Amino acid sequence: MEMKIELPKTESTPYVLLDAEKSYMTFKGECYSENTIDFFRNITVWLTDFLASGFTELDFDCELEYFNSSSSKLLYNVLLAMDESAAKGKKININWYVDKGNDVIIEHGEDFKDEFKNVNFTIIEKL
Amino acid sequence: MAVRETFDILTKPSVKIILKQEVNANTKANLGTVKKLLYAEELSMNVTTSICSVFIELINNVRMHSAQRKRSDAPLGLLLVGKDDNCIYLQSMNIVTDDKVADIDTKLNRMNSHIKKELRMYYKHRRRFENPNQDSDGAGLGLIEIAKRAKTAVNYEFRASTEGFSLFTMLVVFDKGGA
Repeated sequence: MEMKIELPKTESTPYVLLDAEKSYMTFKGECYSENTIDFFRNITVWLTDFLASGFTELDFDCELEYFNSSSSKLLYNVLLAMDESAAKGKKININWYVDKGNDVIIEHGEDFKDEFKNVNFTIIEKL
Repeated sequence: MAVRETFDILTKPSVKIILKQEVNANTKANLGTVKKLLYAEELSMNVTTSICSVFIELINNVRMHSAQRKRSDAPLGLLLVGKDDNCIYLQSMNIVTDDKVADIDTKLNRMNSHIKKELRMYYKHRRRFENPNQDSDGAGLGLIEIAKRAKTAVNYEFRASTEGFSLFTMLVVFDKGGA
């Protein structure tokens, strides 16, 4: 497993940081690439390896301003893997950052929170 | 609203077309341009995000459903953004093969029969089971997202074109005030 992966923000993909040493992940920006499967491939591989390692806690800051429906499905898979790991006793904290008043992204956060009950899922509205 | 009226709306003098986007295989959804146009309208963040969501999904829908998708040199369809004093209009147009018409019609009818709260539940349900295969022909999440964000039912129409093909149009209306 690569200890650290950092992907720059582009017009249609978010900034990504996956840091095994710090047990930390973040997505920041917009996610509507036409090639979402390709974009998520390395993230999914890294996460699968990380979740199989001896970690005890993972923090994930998710600050997406917008994502399309295919990214929604792949993000669902990422959160599902985390939730399954949390169900086995790992501590996983997900912070869902959203601009105040952006009901679309708040709604997505609420739906994910409702779906994944084993992780600590917090929706944080930014002023 | 009767579907035939959708063209009448966009050709009304009161409606100004603010963006025409030809869609082809390499078209990148130019969200930056759309956002710039919407900022000028001083819409709420909520309405802006909803419009951007639908814009992206409509482009993807044209790509997936266009009968010309196997021809990389041909335009796949067209997207229009219009506005008047009260609303923003997004309209997509593309040619589909007639064998797709019944399937798309069934899906959109189903979307339009749900109230917004049901669409939210339906989206969650479909997300659990949808295969994120980019070559899928729009199995559903994108269409549900469009229906969730639209102010009213999604207006759509199939018009017979040359033999075996139809012109498929969708019109999605947003209230500038966010209702």
